[in-house]
Amino acid sequence: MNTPNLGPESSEVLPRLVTIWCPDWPVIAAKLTRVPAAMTAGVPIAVVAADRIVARAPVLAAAGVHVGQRRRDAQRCAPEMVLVDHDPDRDARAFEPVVRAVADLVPRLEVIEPGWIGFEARGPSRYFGGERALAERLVDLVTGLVESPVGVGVADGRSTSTIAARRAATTPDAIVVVPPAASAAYLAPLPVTWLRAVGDADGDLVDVVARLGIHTLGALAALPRPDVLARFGLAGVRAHRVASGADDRVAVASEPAPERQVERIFETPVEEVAPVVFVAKQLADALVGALMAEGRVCTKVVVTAETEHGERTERAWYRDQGLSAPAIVERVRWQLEGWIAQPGGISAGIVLVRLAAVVVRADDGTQVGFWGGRSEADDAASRAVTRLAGLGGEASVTVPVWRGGRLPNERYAWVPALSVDLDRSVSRPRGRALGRGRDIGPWPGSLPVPSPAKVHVAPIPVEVVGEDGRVVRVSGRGEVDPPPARLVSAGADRVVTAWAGPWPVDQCWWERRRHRRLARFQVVTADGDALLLAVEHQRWWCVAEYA
Amino acid sequence: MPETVPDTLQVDTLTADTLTADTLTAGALTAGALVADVLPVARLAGSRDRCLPVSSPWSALLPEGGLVRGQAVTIAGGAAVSAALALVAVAVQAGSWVALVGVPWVGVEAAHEVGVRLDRTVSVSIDPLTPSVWAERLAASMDGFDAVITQIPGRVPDRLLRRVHQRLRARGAVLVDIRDPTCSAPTCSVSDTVRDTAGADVSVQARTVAWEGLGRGCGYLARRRVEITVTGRRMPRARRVECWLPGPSGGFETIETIEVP
Repeated sequence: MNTPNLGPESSEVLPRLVTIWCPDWPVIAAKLTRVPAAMTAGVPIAVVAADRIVARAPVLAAAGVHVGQRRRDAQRCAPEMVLVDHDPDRDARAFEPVVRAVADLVPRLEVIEPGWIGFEARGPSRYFGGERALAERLVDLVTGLVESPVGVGVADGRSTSTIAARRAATTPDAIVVVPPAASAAYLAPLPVTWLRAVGDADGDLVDVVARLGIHTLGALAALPRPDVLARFGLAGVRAHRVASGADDRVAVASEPAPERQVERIFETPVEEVAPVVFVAKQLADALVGALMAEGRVCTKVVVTAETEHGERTERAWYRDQGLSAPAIVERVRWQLEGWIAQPGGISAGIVLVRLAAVVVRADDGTQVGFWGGRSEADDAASRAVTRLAGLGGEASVTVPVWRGGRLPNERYAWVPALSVDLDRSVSRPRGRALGRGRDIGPWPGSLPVPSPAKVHVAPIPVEVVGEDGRVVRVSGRGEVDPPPARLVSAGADRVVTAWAGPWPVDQCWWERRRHRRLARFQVVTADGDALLLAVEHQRWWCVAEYA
Repeated sequence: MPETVPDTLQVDTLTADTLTADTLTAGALTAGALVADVLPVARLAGSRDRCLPVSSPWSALLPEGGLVRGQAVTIAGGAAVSAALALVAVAVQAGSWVALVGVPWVGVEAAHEVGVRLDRTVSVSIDPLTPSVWAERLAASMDGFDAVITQIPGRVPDRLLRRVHQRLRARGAVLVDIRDPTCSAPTCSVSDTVRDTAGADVSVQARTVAWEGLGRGCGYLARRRVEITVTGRRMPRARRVECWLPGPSGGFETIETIEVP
């Protein structure tokens, strides 16, 4: 190819796609489902997952808070904001009414994630009298349902349509229609950071491209494709295609072979969601396993469920990076819960659940996952996690997530294991950074290494007295009077042989509700045990033991 | 066990042949970290070796130089929790997953410092904690996790314990039971622990000898000398080692081996 490519291959025909995009949907969902922290009027909220910002209210953008930022950096920019933990199930539940309403207008849509819907424009636009009319109808529909800004983008191909919808969300009339074959011209003046919006160009590629002096998508598209392939590899070629107005991968339109569909028919109708989800996990494992054996990955799956009385829910889910088994199960759960929770509900038990991999593509190894890929041990562990969650409830199986703090029980939060998509390792800090590492700097006021091995779930009240029997008091200036000599706990009176402290903590002094003022002590008793004590309001607690 | 165990591994000598359980037991965390960064160990070494790899103080103490799959280990003493975490650290580095069943008080940051990878750690909480529920969750955990750390609740009927052990052997997992660390007095003898192991194959007594670094109103807890005594079903005599847990460099290191009379 001698001439730089400025558009899609001439043999490619890109369908016109409509994308509906609700920006910062997790924030809207928190308000809609009445999360207590989100209900104070006038206070902007942000949603946090694994110590990083996932979504934030628009007013915070001016303060410098952006998606992907670390929690502490964001708090430094905007101390008055309230943080809410991320809950994908909550987002999906809140988005259900929107999906159902759009599904009334548009028969075949696909949901990418809560807040993001896509569908083909050809049929509906003819029915509603043009693309612009269709888009106006959708905007009215969504704004009438939920108090959320929305953007509707119509363009050739999925990537351009996505970018158009995100830009539309910031325009006053919330609609952007890119004329056919004009995608490249539309995208040319946009900065390269828009590549991140499409989903699989990661931050590193965008940074490198920007540092090389290529700041707009038009400049990227003007480069010859073979050179881009040589310099950046496959990821660069995909970015180049997006910048030229094409889709990042050539669409494969083939009917799925029969074995790419798995279903289970229940002999006795099942009334609850949990057993169906458990079965769906087995089906998803089988489906993804069969595809992986062929070197393929599923990007669009249609989930169908039917009840005994013939009621049916069928929805297409799409994800650009490919759907892993846990991702499919997550979406099955969202769909079933939304179906059952709708007004009227369902009148009988579920008898059929079916997963059909509609669009598969060759797995070119760009799936973000664990280093080295998933091993047998990882799969066995995630099956066990699902089984345990079925036995004891989702909240009973948790994984540690770094949070940071000055007391041992604050450093890590325990998050339900099922709500963490184990494949999304890009959004979680990698192994080393989970507690220490180059990413996370020192935490001011934290306790020295080594950390206590036994951290009490609830601090145990103890008494610390001096030689003369007086309770040890710590003054505001950090003077300890009298020096600790004996520790009385659980009826046992032990002699203190060594101690150090007070290491004061005075946090959130600007907020009366959350203000905490305490001092920490390390203490060794005569029988060799070491404990971490804390004194707050002149009362002593044993917070942890160095067991 | 090879005669000389290399304590540093050169990257260019890491091939599928040298990557065995023996080489993995060398040099505690340095080997584990090096291997983890370079190669997907779980696939190459085969996830169904007879033993799970352990760090060097443990490989000298345990009867077969590693954690034999299907065995139960009981750990008691003042340093029991840290010893349990150090026991599974290298196995988790090498690709196994660890489940903390019914022990919400395990310090996750301490686990991380001794080398346990937190992205392969899962905690299962049991509420209410009755023996039958505990046994059920434990069985489900053993299906998917190679290492399970728990605390056997009091008054578990013998038939439940026997079923737990059968499941353990069938699945090839390793059960680590942390006894209530009230037995930290130096007079607690080894035979006491053997008597109430309730069927454990290996019994460990981890006794805190001394903490160093803390003074009277100054310093901070920096290092701890721990005496670890291991007895077991297939061990003719007990093995004892004095070690740092944690040591000056933060890891789990042997100071000296002690002959048990």
